[in-house]
Amino acid sequence: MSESTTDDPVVRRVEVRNRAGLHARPATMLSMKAKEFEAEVELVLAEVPADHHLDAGTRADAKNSIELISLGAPLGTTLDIEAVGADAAAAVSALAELFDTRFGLEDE
Amino acid sequence: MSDANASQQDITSRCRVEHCIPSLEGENKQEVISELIEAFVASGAIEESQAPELFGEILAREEEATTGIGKGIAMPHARRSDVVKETLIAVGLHGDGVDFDATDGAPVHVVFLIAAADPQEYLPVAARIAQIARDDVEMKALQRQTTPAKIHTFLAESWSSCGAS
Repeated sequence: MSESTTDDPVVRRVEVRNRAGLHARPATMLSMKAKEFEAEVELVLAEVPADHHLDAGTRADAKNSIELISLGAPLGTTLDIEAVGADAAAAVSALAELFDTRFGLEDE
Repeated sequence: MSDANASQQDITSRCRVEHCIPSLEGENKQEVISELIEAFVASGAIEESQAPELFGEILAREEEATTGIGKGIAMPHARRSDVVKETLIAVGLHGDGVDFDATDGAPVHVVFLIAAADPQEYLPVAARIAQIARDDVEMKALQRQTTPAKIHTFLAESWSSCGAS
């Protein structure tokens, strides 16, 4: 594996689009996908509801499903996927696709 | 939940001391889930006749995908149960660890069971539990609690300390 040529993170903003929010199953899907990559990947709360228990800017390791669940991100929350490493761009794309496809949870 | 304090009281009240079990005895995930549901029956939170329905709801979710989310923690749940009038949490500790088909393959030592009355309540409750569960030091300390009252007090204090947004 070659070294990354830059420490600048690859960032993409995504939105929670499945009705039930970022609960255990999507969190597990995200963490398992993130583990397929060497890059360090984090999810950062960007815009949260006014009464949310965490502030914008709260971070979670995307490879740790427990941290992802702790974000408690409901429908409509926006998050930034931030990745650093040789395959950072691919990792960001793969995770963004999960958000964009509502994690395949069509009944939600 | 209008502010952090209300949220804090809310989560603590949903996890009654009678629903904290310091030494689960079940030898598999089904037995452990059953033990935790029995705590709801024993406290009068649900009727004995309702236990099988709740058990079925939680097992059905487990069959879709394990809630053994790694690091020795499992969060079996029903996101919308007609059995409970209000969202309930039970917590159990398992000294030897029990197989939960966890995502990391590790035996589970801490089980947080959530029976949510409303799917909108499930997400914030799960998030508050995960706020404690993500902290390895807190989880080790939780596992040292030896009585229901000590578990309950420990969780209340943990939620209080991370209650500020």
